[in-house]
Amino acid sequence: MSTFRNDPLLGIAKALLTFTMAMFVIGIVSLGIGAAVMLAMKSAVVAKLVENGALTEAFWGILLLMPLVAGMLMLCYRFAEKLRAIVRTVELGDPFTPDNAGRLRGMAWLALAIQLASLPIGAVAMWIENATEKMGSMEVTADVSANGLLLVLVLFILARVFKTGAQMRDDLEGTV
Amino acid sequence: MPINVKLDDLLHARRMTLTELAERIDLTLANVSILKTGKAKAIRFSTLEAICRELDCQPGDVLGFAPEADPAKG
Repeated sequence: MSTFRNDPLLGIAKALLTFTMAMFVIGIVSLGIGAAVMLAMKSAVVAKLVENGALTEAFWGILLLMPLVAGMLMLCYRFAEKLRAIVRTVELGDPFTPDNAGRLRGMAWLALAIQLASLPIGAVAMWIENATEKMGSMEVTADVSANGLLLVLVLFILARVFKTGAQMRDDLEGTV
Repeated sequence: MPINVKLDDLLHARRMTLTELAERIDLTLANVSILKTGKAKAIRFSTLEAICRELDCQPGDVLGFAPEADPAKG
């Protein structure tokens, strides 16, 4: 059962996922603070935007974009959290469990939600890009990708593989 | 489950303990206990063969079938 305990790949994956999750939390908190500061200093921010040739409406666009991106980061955090939990079970030598099948199914839904969330984010970002055209320094791209959709499909299939694997292991456990 | 394991009766008749049987058929006491209490989901032919060999019996002596009453038939 302890075959994988010293696998360096799992250690690296776990460390990387923990680091990524920390980055997501920092991102979410930063966006929250940013939105609050923007609201508190609305007139100064709008003045700065107008001064640089942007439309006044760009302020609301940026303000709308922040919670959308924070929401997406939250989905990414949950995705990484589930993946780290799976890595932990692999490390313990017991990955074929119904829990992991559920985690993979959850990850598939999260990946789909991330893809769908990128649509309004992309639309708002594009609108901000147009509104701040004269500033000339902003370029945001976010849209549904074929790779992302393929990931969703792979995760749903893997969830079923794990579900069957868990059932097979369960049968084997009851075999004397 | 309608399949019942009659290991208790066989062991009693042979004056053999569960621990002794476990040692003879090279199975853990926990697994033999699972088998004896009817909690096992399946039995390997190799296990059945070892039990029959050690208890000098037939597979039919170890396993029995008692159909469950069909609730639909009342």
